[in-house]
Amino acid sequence: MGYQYEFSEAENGTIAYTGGKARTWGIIALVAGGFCLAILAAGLFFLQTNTVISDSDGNTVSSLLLTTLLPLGFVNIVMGNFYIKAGKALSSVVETSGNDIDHMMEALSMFRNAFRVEVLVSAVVFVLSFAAGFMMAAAG
Amino acid sequence: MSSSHEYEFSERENEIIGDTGKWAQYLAVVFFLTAAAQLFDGLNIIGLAINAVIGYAFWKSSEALKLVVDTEGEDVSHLMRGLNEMATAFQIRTVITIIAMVIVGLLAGAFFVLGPRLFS
Repeated sequence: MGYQYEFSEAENGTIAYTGGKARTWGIIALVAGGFCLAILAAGLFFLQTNTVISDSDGNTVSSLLLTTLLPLGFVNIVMGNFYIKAGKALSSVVETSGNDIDHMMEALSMFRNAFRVEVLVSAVVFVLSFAAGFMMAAAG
Repeated sequence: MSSSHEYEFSERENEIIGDTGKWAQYLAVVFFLTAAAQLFDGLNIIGLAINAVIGYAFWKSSEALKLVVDTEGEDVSHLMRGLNEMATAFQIRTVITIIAMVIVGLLAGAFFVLGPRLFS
């Protein structure tokens, strides 16, 4: 059986602090994701039921809501889950003994997954934004 | 006895730490690019500053995590520094997201109330 490192009290303080912030951010990201989907649902319902708005205006706003809020909502929910799991793993480092390094590695893996999702989605958004800007400029 | 100066992460652990540092650095670049994009968005100084600060925190975190892998003797200290910088980024993002949700909520409420009048 290998040597099991136990973090010191001061180190546990830093780990607990980061775990708390990660979990809070994860919850906020989850709420923000749900918020985006709720606004999307409310917006689409509003456009469907409101006869004052013309079909072309309604379609434009619907497309805008679907292309922005739907991906934003799902990404926030996925990302929020990773941050919450990372926060829980960091809490386990502090609250348990015997597996500190394993819990730390689990937390870092979750952070890596969350960062990866954010970077890849942002890259897609950047490319699409540039393409849309280029097409609008070309259209005059 | 366990001291932060004694523990050296294994090769497998270094791989996870290095990978997390690498993706934290990519994320920092995303925030820097977003900050740069705000220069063209009517010189949005607030957005630029927020994104630059969050990007800087992730960058510092990634540097500390890389030091865990690249150096010996201070692995746990570097890891703690990396976590601290991450916590700073999370805290700023939490506050900004709450403010953004309040603003968007108010705007959405105004849209549902005033929408029909705007379109008619």
